[in-house]
Amino acid sequence: MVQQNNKEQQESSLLIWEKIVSIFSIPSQNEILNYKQQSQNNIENNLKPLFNNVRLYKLESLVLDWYFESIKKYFKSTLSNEFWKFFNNVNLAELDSSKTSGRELKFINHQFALSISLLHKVFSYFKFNLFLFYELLFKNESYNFNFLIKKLQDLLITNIMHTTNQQTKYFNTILFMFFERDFISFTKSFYHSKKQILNKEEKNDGKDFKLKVQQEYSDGEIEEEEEKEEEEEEEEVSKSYIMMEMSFEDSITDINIKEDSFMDLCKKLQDLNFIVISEEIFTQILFKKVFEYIETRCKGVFEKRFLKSILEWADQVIFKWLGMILLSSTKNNNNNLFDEDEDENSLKIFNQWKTRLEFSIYENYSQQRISELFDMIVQYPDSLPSFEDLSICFQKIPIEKTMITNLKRVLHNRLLHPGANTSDIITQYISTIHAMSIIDPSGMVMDKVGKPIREYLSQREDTIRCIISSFTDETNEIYQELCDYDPQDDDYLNSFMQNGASGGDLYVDEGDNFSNDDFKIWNPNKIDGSGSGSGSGNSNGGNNNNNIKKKDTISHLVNIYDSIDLFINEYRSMLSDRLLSVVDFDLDKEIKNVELLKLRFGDTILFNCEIMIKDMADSKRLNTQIKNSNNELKEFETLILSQLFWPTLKGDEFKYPKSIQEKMNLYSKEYERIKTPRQLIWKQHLGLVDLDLEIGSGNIQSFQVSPIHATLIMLFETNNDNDDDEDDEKELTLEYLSNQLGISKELARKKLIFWLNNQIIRETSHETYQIINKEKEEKKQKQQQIENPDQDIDESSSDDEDNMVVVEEEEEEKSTSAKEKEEQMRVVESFIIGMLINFKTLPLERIHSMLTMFNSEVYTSSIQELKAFLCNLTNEEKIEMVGNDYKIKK
Amino acid sequence: MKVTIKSLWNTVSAWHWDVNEECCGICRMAFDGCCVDCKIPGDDCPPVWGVCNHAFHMHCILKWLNANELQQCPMCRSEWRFKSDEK
Repeated sequence: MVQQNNKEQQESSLLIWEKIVSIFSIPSQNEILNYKQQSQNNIENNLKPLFNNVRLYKLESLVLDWYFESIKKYFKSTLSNEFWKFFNNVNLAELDSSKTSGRELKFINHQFALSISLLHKVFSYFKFNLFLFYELLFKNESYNFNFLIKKLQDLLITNIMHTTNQQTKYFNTILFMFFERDFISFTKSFYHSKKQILNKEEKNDGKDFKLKVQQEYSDGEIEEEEEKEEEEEEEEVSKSYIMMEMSFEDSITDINIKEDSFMDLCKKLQDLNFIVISEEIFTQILFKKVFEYIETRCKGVFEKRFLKSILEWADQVIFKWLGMILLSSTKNNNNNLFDEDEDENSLKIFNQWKTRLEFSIYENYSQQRISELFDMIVQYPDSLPSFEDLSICFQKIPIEKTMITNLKRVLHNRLLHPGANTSDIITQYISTIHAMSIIDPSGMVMDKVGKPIREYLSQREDTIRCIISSFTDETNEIYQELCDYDPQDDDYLNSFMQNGASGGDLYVDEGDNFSNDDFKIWNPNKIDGSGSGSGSGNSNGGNNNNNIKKKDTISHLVNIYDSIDLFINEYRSMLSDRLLSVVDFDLDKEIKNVELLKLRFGDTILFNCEIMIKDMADSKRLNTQIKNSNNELKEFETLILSQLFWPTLKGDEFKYPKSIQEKMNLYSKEYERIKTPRQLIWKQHLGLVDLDLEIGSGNIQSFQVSPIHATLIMLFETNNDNDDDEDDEKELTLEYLSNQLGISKELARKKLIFWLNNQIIRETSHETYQIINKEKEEKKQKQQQIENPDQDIDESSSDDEDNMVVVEEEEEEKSTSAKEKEEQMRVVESFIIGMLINFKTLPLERIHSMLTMFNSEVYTSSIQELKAFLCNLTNEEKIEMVGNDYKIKK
Repeated sequence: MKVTIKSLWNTVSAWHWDVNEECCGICRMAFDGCCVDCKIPGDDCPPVWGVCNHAFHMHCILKWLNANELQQCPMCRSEWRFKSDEK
């Protein structure tokens, strides 16, 4: 009974199976294409009982599997071929959106649309059938229809587009080209409609409104030939962008017509699940467009803010377009039977993509800016707006690292090389500080970026000088900062002073106050630096809540060196140079400077400078006092220094001219009388002499020279008051000169160079010098000319040189620190010489180790410094180098 | 050739206390500078001599004399008397 029942069952199930197969076997292409939905009647009458039977015999899954299998076969064997037939005439292998002509593009796009509609028709046929299956077989089970559709979509994609790698590639290219072209025409139509709106409004409301609208769509997104506003660059940018668009031949009306068919196509693609699958392609297109847009608009233009308008543009163009494609189903699918959560799903995808694209806008923009950072910094503060934009990006996305590495690299390549002026480097450094404080108020980026600059600057010898002169230059912004500085404002420097100043005991009091209160309210810096406002970095430092201690420019500059002392020493020596070598310096200005620096760096450290200035005032008072008491000293003035407070003033001693020496003695006596028990020590090499040289008659030249030069030239003076033309100029030998001055021959020769360069004296024969008397020579020449008139005389050259005054040659331009180093080495010189005498020859390393062993108090130099010093000694011919060893020069 | 010096011959000099020692025996600061309590050198912080010919900053020796009942020179322990009156 059971067996027979079984057999019956088998037979009937076989019957059902055959029926199903006959109904659902894959029809021919034409049938599919012309397929009409089966009438409800047919379904009710024929299919329903059949499927009921299927359910009865539990054949559901079997039927479904069979159906999918047959669909797969059909896709693979038939439909795939049909699909690719559309592109038979296209050379797919060489497809490239940038090279293909417009016509070809049009053709491909056309074929693409046709092929997609074919696929879609086939797809909907199967979809409907599957829906039948679902309705009649699985309705009451926990079977998801979407799952079936998904399976169908997957089958389609894997069997048609993605059968081989090559096909995948081709399909992606076609898709890419299609959407890129569409995007371009969309943006164009977008601009076009904007323009039309604008024109209309212009007609209606006149010009005022037009301006208003323009402001609304700010920054020239509206392309307008008739735009008369000055913003030329802006126009250029927008024009170039338009040009780029125009290069694709596609008329605007074309697009308007196409719109509907395009929407239809999008919907089809959406149904086929192609859009989600080819996300990569969209991302590619849009990223490319975003990148192009940003590049054309922003490249090289720093004095405008762009970020907001770019985002607006993205909102109006990119997202609109994307919405059109992704959300196409939502618009007209209200009556759709199948998908309830489809809308929600595509909205979700749309939002995902939107955020991603927004992110990529920030990324692209910051990339663009980062690649131009150096130029932006050069143009600071004109480039302020772009830095503000970048600071917004900085808060949104992690660009710190790229920014730091990029900036470091570009600074290294373009700034930190021997070709750049120190002052330029410092200016750039300052701009960098300002700019980075806009981007990152916490100063973290600056710390990292600034490090190589600081290191590089600290190796340059004239850095301190440049910085100090910027401290005292009234036109410099640093000077302004110094003036604006309020000591209440910032306790950073106090802490710096504690670490930096060597005279530690002077700061104990400040230090106590500082450490007691501060550690309790300590808050670590937020890494992203979002704690303080995004805008200008002038945050209120007095506020305790603001945990970011703003390092200002000056502290950045001072930070180049380990200690503040270096700066102050350099400032001191520059001050002393100015006070000693400039006759009419502005003492009030110097006082102001010192006061400003005191405010900034503390009183104690600038104490010496104060004394120096006080010395100036004191000597002035004393000079008047002495002048009044002694008539003979009317024409004599001296600066009396408090020696210990000035930098070491070294120079060569020599004999003054008698008249001056007498006055000096007189002055000393007068001083000792007034200020017992104090004495005066003359600094003979210092001072300034204004003198006129009268050579011959009426030819007067003025010079401002040091005393030794003055004394030297005075030796050439002829005592003959008759001004006799016949009287020849003195001829003096070097030996005579050096004896008269009480200096060595070498020094005398060195000092003579000044007068030789200025063409006042000449070397007539070896080590013999004479004043050049042009007047007389011309006379002589004239006489000669009379005697032999044929002779050519080159007069022009001598005339040219008449007015040339060669500036006194500077003593080697070494910064004081370098000089101090050498001073220090000089101390150990005798020790080195002694060592070499005892040991005959010694290698560098031995000398170094012996010096460190025995002279550790004085000798703190590195082996390189020692080597440099020994090299100096070799040059001075005190020692010589044999192989690797040094020995005394014989 | 004639050399005329216009306006002034500007010279530079440094003042110096006429003391044999470099620095004060009490504070070890240079006489040309000033004692530890002073900031401005010169007339404000002069050296003084005792009859024993030892010199100190005026401020330093006064401090010393105030702190010690024995009015002795800190160097030679002889009785301290200012020399300046005799000069």
